[in-house]
Amino acid sequence: MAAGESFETIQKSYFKVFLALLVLTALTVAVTTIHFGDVMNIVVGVLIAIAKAGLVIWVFMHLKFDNSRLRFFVYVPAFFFLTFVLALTILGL
Amino acid sequence: MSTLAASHSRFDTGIYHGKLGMWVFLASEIMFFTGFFGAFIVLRNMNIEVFTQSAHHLDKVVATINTAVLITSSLTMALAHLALEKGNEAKFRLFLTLTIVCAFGFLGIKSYEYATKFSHDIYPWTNTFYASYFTMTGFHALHVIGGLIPMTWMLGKSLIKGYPQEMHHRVETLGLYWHFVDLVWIFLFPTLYLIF
Repeated sequence: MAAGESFETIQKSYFKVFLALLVLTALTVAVTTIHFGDVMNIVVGVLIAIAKAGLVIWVFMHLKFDNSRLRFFVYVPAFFFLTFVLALTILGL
Repeated sequence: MSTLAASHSRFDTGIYHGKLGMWVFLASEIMFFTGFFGAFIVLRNMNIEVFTQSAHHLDKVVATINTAVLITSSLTMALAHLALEKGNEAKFRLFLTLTIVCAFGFLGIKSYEYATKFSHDIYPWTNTFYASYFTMTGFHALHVIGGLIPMTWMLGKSLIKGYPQEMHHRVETLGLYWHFVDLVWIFLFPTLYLIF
């Protein structure tokens, strides 16, 4: 844990993230009843998933509190993941 | 308050070896699951009707409940580590037990889902959608089991000998892995159950 973050602050942020994850899960299920169009539904679903993943990585996985150089271990594979997935989707293979 | 964490950290990287090692492993795990997602996209675009029809047979309600169970287990895992870092071993045991219960709950619900599919004569070889579904959720379930083993070991150690507070970094490292398992599910859930 980084200096300056008290246990109470960290515990509060865990509960906030937990609530946000539950709300986003409910949201991602709720939006399936709305038809934005075939592609847009996928885009909305993926965007919500990325937001949830970001919260988990940032707070639960302590990236917020850790050494900033460690973030490369997330950014690099995440970049390849997104590039790969986007490329396949756009190419329509 | 950060003396415990600092005492394990390398002066040059600012983190301890276990954490660095786990992140390298998780980076490779992202690549591993990317292969499945890539295959899923390619197969889906080649068989859109099959994928759309088959995905509608999946149980969204059960999957949503399971998502909540897994998110809860992530919270309790984070709280378990925090409790140990504070030196409160009773709370550490409580939250670790809750995490284990949630993990078994997840596997139980998943087994129910699989059993329902099998009873409807749906198997991994039924079509390419179900092949993807069983492969992806199956490997995810294996990761859950893989997390349960060290969790149970840590709980046992805590009950028998007591878990040393200065070893809380091992719990943090296991937590990193566990949150990653949650993270994979966060992507699997909309991909398999929601986007069709």
